[in-house]
Amino acid sequence: MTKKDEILKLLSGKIRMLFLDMHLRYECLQEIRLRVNTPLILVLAGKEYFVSEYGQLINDINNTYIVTTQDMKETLEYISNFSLYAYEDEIRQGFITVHGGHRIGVAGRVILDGERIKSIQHISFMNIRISHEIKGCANRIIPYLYNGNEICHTLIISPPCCGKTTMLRDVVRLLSDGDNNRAGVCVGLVDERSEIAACYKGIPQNDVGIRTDILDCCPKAEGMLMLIRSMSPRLIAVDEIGKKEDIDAIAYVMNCGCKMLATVHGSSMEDIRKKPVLKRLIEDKMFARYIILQSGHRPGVIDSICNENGQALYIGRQAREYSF
Amino acid sequence: MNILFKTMGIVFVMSATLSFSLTHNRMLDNRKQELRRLYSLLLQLKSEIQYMNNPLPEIFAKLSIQTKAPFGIWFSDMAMRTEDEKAESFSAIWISGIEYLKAQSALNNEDIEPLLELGERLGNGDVATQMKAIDYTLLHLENNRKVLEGEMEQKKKVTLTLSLFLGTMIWIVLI
Repeated sequence: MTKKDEILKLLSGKIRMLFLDMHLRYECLQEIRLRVNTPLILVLAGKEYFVSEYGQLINDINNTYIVTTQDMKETLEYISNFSLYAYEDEIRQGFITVHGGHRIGVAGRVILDGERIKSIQHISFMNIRISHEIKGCANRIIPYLYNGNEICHTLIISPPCCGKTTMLRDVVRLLSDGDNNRAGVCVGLVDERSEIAACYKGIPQNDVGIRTDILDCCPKAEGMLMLIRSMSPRLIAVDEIGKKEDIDAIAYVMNCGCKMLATVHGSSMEDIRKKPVLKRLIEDKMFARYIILQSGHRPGVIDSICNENGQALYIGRQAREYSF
Repeated sequence: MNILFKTMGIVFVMSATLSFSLTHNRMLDNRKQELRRLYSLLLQLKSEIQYMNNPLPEIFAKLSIQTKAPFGIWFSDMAMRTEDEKAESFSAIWISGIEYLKAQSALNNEDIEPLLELGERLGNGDVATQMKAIDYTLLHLENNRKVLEGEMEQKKKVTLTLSLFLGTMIWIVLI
């Protein structure tokens, strides 16, 4: 199934017809925003567009297509395979991951059970984030992740929507597959939100390498410990660490002799140092390599690669051919 | 010769009216059996949702293999339209499926009504809501089946008696 088919299948009938009229370049499509009684908005190659009633991309808010309650209801039915009950856990976290690895954020009325979120009802806001697998985007940085023949503990620091998950996916693939110069390694991947490998019915939809074992929809801390105990990985990869238990689990993994590859929200090493839970990563020099992605119009632009002392091993201020 | 034709006529009229009552009685038997089968199928649907957390297209596909027409065809059609095509809302798919059942099965309006209500809730909300909706439908179907079983024998006798009476009246009038 092509990316176009994957996306069109999620949308209500009326919105689907608009998309068919638009002749979009789906490889540039980043987000589809649905909000009841407001204009339909697309984010294409970093720019925002409205959609007219005749299926054209416009910048003017007049004569835009307005998303209806029926559109939202139908889209939700297609996304959840007509089975919202089967996605209770995902909805409680605020998103659903579908076939193809696309992630749909949902918002609406939150139902509480005591202080715990039980569910989200009357979903009236949706953000469909399109997954883009870009093979080769990490080719240039792989040599920096090695110290001799040993892989270094690596942390990818990136602001939101700057391609850290795409970069992580490609690093995992490259390390798992290996090449003529370096042997591939067994990688254990904890894919908590099913974004990296995007497993559908247990099968990864994205290429994460031939030696990669995946724990899908598993909390990071528990997942790392499970993989260490059962799958003998040389490297464990996780996305978006942020909680104290994540940091503790990372320390445990490192103590077991396993290498660590993780990502975190932030703009620089200094930014991470300011965060109470994460500052330990920098101060204790837990990681040997820090890949910092640049915020801007294009995701995947590398700002710099630093070692544990903050010394830049590579500085890249301009967009290079591997950015996407 | 005249007597022969009259005798044949009587036999024909009585056969026609009797066959009408037999058909009606068979429909009652079919309805009872189908209510039982539908009850069992909805119980399986409930288990699949409650314990396996399977999505509806998968459940419909499973149920379609386990049962014969008309329910097997109904579930097979539902599975195809919800899994592959995704071109209609669930409510439209469900309603057209129920209309098929109404035409092809012995179920009557009293049996169809709770199924239509189930379609409004199936797939929406959490597991607990699904359980309540299915339980409500099961309760109605079970009530309908019990009422039918209670009245069935009497209804059969009445139908048979009326058909014999009608047949007799017709040949008396004709003769």
